[in-house]
Amino acid sequence: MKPLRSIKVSPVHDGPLKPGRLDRREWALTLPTIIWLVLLFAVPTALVFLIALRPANPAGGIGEGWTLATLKDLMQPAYPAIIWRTVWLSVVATAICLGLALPVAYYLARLSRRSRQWVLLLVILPFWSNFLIRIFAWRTVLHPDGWLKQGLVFLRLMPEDATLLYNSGAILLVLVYTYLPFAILPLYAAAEKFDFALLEAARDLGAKRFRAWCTVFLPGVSRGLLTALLVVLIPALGSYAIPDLVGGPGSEMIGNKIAQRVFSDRNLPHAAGLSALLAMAVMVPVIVMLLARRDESKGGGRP
Amino acid sequence: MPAFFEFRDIGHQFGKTPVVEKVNLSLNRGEVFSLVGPSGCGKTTLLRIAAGFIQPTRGAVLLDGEDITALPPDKRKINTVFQNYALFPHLSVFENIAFGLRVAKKSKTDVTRAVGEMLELIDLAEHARKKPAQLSGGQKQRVAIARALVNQPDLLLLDEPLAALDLKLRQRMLLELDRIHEEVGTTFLYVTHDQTEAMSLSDRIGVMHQGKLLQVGTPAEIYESPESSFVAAFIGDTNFVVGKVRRIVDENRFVLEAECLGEIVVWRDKPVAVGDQVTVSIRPEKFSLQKTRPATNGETSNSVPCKIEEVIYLGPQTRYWVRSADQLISVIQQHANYLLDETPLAWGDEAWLTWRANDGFMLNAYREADEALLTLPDD
Repeated sequence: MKPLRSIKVSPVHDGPLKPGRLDRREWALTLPTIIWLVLLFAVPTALVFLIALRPANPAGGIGEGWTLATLKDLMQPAYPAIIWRTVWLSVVATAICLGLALPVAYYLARLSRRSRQWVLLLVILPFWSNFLIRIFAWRTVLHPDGWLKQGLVFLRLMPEDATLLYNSGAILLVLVYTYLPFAILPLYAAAEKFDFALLEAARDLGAKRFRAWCTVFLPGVSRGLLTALLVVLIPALGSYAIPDLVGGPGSEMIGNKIAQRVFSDRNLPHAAGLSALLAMAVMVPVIVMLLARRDESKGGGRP
Repeated sequence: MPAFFEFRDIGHQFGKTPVVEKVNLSLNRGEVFSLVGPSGCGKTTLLRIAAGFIQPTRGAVLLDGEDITALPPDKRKINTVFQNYALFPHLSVFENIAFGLRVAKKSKTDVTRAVGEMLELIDLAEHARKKPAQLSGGQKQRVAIARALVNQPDLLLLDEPLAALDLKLRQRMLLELDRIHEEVGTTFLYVTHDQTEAMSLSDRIGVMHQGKLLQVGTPAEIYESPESSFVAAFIGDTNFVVGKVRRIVDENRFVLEAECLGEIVVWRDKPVAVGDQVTVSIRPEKFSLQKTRPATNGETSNSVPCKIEEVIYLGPQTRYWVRSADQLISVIQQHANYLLDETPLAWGDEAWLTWRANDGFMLNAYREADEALLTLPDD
């Protein structure tokens, strides 16, 4: 996104362009990134799309020839519900993450340098233990015999037969828990560069605290907001381990279905088809957003 | 007439450190008032108290007779021009100026008209669609002023508004500010550490030091009759002559036994008695420097022999440092006549330093530390 674009900007010079030399230097600088992206992103993605068009092999491999059978298979009546659940769980988790991360980033940026380091450390601290271990920890906390459930029942805040684990609520909770730091960090980076005198200027001009925050702070960190949105939404849409471990049979996400097709059904083309569907669902909004951002930086301001 | 804007016994401290102490100050409607002082003197704190960003630890702020101490910034009819402009980077020039009007929910036609008038005032109509990043420093400054004036505040606060501009631009902007003030007539409270800025723009000046407001007066009053050694040395340059009162000549004059210069006649600005310790401030341009002993009247003026130690030719004037007895004295001589026909005074020359008794001014308070503010040649 941003780094790629800044590489394309050629150095300032007033004289006539010497296209050959400059282009070569630009290419040389960009080449490692391009090779990396082609080998590890473009080729595998293309393979996934291609495999979706091959027939399945009963032995669990990929058959000969080409077929549209998988595409028809994707019309299964069970899928729309799963796709809908995947989308709303991810969107709601992203919204909650951004909603929590914004005030955190704001206060982090306003803290003194010393205390800021400590709070940042606390934000990053969960990364010191493995992601799966942390999900298992949540299973323990939310377990029907766990202290949280027992405590809530004891306080008569929930009935004896209700469950905290193995449902969409548990997935949402753990999604938010897992991705919150990823939302806080880019927002904090943006908030740290924000000129807080602008908030005072807005207040000085008659805006109440909240209005000043919305009309000046939010646009000021919009880039960080967009990064945080993508960094949370994309992995949330593709999450597999979280719904697998804390979700139940009624709360599967696309990620679970893809895994099922690969490991239980041994139907690689079908798994590839689902993956392609997910990849498109992620890429289309990202491309639209990037295009929108480019237009915005090109066009002039409103009168 | 009651004061239009008033700081009443304002005191403020950050933690245990007092930054503003017992400030009493009244502004008249429509005047340009400058607070000057070195950085850390509390002038910006005072400005932020006026804007409402800081609640003073003690005292009250009054606007048009009304106590506004507890009002938040958005409820005050006071607007600020911030030091680094603080223009909204995501909004165009037009929208920056319109911000206050939009917050006040003014109709579309009102906004267009008022912003149009402001753009006219600051002469930036053709840049209305640009973003702040596309403007020069001076243009940003004008937008910041327009944005603060569009709500027609009772009081406009300016926090070192020219600090980020280069010298030439600063001089142009001073004239521009003067013109804007003439057109809108708003009361200006201007904060700066630059005394020339304050002198050229203001109706009155307040000099601050270490949280205290030391002296308030017109630029000429402050320059000609500073009450303390700090004011004398901070506003312009000066010389301090310290000594004891030897005898009283008449109600206007007395003779001072100066530590270095010997007996000199001094104008009696304040009541003194024989034996009092007195400090006199004499501005460099009040002296005249001659090669021969002038025929002076020892009753009303002084003449002492001296040696030229340093000569700095500046064009319209020459700056000298001369030594008389043991005191180094800063002297400025204007060149009213064509200079090349004369033989100028040079380094090492013996000369006579002359000044009239009433060219000096008796200080109320003298601190030796303030000598550090004087311009002195490097040894």
